[in-house]
Amino acid sequence: MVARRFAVGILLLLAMGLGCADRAPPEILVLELPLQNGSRVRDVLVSGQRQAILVYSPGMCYSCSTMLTQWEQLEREGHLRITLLMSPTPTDADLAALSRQRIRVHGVVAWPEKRVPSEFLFEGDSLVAAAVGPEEVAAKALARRAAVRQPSPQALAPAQNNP
Amino acid sequence: MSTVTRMPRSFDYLQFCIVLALGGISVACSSPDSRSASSLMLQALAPVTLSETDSAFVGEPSGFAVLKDGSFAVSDRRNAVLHHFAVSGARIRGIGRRGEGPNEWNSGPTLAVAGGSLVFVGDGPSIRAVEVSSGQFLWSRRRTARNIATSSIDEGLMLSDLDPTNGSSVRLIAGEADSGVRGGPVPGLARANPIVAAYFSHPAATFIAPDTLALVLQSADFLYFGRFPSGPFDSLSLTPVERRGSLSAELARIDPANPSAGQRLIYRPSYPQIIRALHGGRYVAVVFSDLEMVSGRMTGRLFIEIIDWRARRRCAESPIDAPADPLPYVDLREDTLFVLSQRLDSLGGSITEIRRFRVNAEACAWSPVDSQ
Repeated sequence: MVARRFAVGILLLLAMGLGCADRAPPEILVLELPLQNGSRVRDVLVSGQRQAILVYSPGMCYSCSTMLTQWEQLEREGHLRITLLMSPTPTDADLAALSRQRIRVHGVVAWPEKRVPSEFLFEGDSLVAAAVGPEEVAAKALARRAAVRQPSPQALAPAQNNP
Repeated sequence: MSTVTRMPRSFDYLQFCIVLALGGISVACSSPDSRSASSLMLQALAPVTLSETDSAFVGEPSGFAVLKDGSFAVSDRRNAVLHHFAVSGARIRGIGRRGEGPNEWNSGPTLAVAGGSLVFVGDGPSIRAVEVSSGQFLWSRRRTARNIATSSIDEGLMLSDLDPTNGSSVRLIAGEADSGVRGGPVPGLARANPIVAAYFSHPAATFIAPDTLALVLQSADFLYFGRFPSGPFDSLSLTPVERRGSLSAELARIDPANPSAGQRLIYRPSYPQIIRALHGGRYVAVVFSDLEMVSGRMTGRLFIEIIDWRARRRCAESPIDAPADPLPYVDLREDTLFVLSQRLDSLGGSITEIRRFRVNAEACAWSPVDSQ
């Protein structure tokens, strides 16, 4: 009887814990997500460096939208670095498509469907901006704002890709 | 104790003989004499592998045209650039980038058609004329959703423009400001149902002789041909064999008061990707795509059909050997079919190549066709 009560208590605690974890701010949760190289997202945050953490769907049309290309452009110009995470797990066909498009995926993560896509911009370990879910990502356009905030001579020069 | 009884050794021998016999039949069936009409009609030539680097690569093909000099223009919507490749596959240059400026792609380049010295390329709500030799954008004009560049004659551009009200299906324009000449037939289903006309009637059209237009649509399994602009137009039935076809029975059931039913069907019928004159206009070649949306990207199987329009006979459509994902894009020059496709090598690296096939109409298994 005591053992049963103890087990029920543990289950309740676990359920509460999971519930709290789910309610934790996404910018906190994202830091604990695992990367393919075995580290966690928080490990890629470097003091004094801007880092965009992107959680995108493998089924997104990457050529129809400028969401990723704008971040890639900022990375090429040296403004920041990108960590791209995929949720849900890509199919084999999706992985092939990502390879063909030379989209480098840093991790496959479990992330609530309603929060995909998510974009987080960190400066060192401080959150600069976040957009979670399709509406927020579309409305906030973090990549454009990041480009405007930190213009550099490189950013103002003509793009060098595909000369 | 087991009740399984062992078969006598003679049974093993019998099995062996059956397998051997089946193998013999299979070999006989794949002998050259019994190959399909497609393998006889399409003679594979050496493919051209496009030269790519990590900073200059074809991210996702969205259009393709073979220029007069044999070089290739490849639309790449992922990187918002029009790549120009030499006949050898060496990359000559990338034209444009994403932006709002005069030499920039607003939405990214899409379907491409080669003119004399120009390439006409879709770009969101515009059609852009690009001089590939200089990399300059010469002009841009607004287009509607039903205007797709489908072929060219010298520097003139044939746009799809199905308009039941005007009784025309294409428009030939000479440049940026030219309102053009409307012409071509409107099939009955498109006349009767505005939803079909709006969603399923992008014609692929070209000239097959001076002033003679040939045209196919998504909404009817027919080749239409006649004097441009106002006809009269004749037709030949292109009953589907392997491709999906126009699914005209399903299209006929679309309720004009319920556009969403039409939207749901939008990728179901075969889509005519190109129509070109073959052997100086003696034949007409049509390439159809059976489209499929997979995870936000377009894929599709291709089929080619050859029509001897004067003799009223056809070489019914045959599949083209090319990967279906992503959707391959095609063009045809003289008697060579060019198929732009992508695949991964054994190490997972992306290869963009142009498969080439000599179209040998003389080897077709011809069958007579009916009029509408």
